[in-house]
Amino acid sequence: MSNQAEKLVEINHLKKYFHVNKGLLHAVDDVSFYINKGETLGLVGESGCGKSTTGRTIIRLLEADSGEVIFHGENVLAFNQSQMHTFRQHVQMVFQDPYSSLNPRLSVFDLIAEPLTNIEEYQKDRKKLDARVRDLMDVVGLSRRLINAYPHELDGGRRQRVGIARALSVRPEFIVLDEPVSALDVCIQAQIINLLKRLQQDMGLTYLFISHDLSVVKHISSRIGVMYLGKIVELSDYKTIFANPTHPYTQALLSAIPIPKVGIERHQIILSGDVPSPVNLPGGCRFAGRCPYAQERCKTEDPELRDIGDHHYVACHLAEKK
Amino acid sequence: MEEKKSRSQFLTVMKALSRNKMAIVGLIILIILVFAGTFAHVIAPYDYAAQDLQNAFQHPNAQHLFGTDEFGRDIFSRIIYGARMSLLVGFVSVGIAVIVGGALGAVAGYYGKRIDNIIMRLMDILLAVPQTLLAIAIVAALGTGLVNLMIAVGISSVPTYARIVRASVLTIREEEYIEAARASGTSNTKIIMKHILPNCVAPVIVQVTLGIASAILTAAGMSFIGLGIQPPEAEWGNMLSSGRDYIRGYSYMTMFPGLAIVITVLSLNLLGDGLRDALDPKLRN
Repeated sequence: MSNQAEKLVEINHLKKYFHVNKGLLHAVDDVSFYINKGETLGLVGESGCGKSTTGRTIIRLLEADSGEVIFHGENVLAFNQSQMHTFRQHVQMVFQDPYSSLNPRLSVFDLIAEPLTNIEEYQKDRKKLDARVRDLMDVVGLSRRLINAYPHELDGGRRQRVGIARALSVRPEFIVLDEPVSALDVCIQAQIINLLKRLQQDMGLTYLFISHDLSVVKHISSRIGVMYLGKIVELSDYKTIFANPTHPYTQALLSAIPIPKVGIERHQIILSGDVPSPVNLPGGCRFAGRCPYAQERCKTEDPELRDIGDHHYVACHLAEKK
Repeated sequence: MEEKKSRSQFLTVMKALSRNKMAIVGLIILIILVFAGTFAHVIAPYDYAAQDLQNAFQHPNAQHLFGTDEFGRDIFSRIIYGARMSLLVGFVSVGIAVIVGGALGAVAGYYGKRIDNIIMRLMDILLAVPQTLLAIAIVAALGTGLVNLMIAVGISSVPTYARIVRASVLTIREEEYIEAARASGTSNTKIIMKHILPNCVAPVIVQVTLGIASAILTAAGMSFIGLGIQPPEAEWGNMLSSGRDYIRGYSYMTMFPGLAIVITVLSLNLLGDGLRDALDPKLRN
């Protein structure tokens, strides 16, 4: 099915390095993937693996060092200012921390209306803006009496709904969700995930869902990409990832999900050592130092992300074709 | 909408401020001074420049509350008119400093890199010259008078505000809501005006209160050495200066303007300290 689907976003060899005191930090190192129209690509990985940086680079909140981001056949990274202005109306972002992503001095109305105030047709027509904001509040399930409230008067779930309404306001096609539920408690997480799923169905949205929580990603993603130290190590549809994880890192990650059942025996893979520093990386596979199956070849040769069949991509020398 | 919020915020700050007795004392004195300065022509019993040579050098008495000076001018009236001058100089020069310094600091902090470096090194150069000396140099270049005095005092305190605004902008710039605004397609100018500056007013307000006090002092100092407001205009600094010759026999001629300066500066400092605590959410409650 995924063969026929239209690619909405295509990321090719995206690189983003940061200059730090000790050297060059490889935050995103040659990442390539695509997102089909209407699907959700989950991007998982531990803290500091570059998943948020990837999301931010795609929508140019950070400038990439090289690579390209193709959106509707055009390279976003080469856009000029006026093209960016239009692009911002097609692509939006929901942020992780609903406490710091809302300006404490603006009311709910002003917060949701912000992206709209940059569009000419709403700048002129105050009534239209008003109606649109009220509509959006209904869509995300925010009571209209909160329209003049300030962020500090809202709980985390409501704040995140404001963040989502803000992102939806310009009717985008593609939304980058940067850990939108990690700062919320579990029952609110479920509400927000359900809201996001409903919105996706109603509006035909495409998501890039960034998270460190596999169980959350599982509920919303059609495909999942696993990142480790700035690289995608495995990418496939969510069923395959969970049923047949091929990269040793994915296997270890999945085995760490707690199973809520009494008496069940878990085969947890405990990785030894720490994540190496992303500054001045050695050659070879990044995971080699911690991999239980590492061979001599892994330490010298960096594995490419390759298709082992059925659009299941793995970056491991030892993965065999299906 | 906007009004409701700023009002509720104003009330919280006032509530926190009201717990600090000294700050309230400062505020009350300041209100009295502003009132006296504004309505000087109504309150003052005599004209500030009216000479009455027969009644020169009178000690304080019922007709002349604070006595009279060498030309028989009523010192009480002159002090009240002086309040108008001092507060005017204080507010306007700080206003100049806040607008210029705030804009420079916001640009430096938001854009960073080269622009930041250029602006802040210029500010460092200004800071390296003592404030009074710089004000003297500017007045020497522009000439004396009320307007030039305000410009001189204002420019010499620009670096302070540039530094404060830049420091707050640097922290606010990293907030996620700035990134969110950029993702919304909001322009840089709008981000600075709508998101950044409103969130760094607290430290600026505190500095303004304290800054007015030091501007008044600088202005009085300038007038004392004859570079500020010229006699017969009533200004506390030049009153001190002209009373200096008679300090042995008629000490009240210097005492009252001196006290006026001390009380004004003290009340502004008390209020400034109180505001600093009241505006800091961590020190509230």
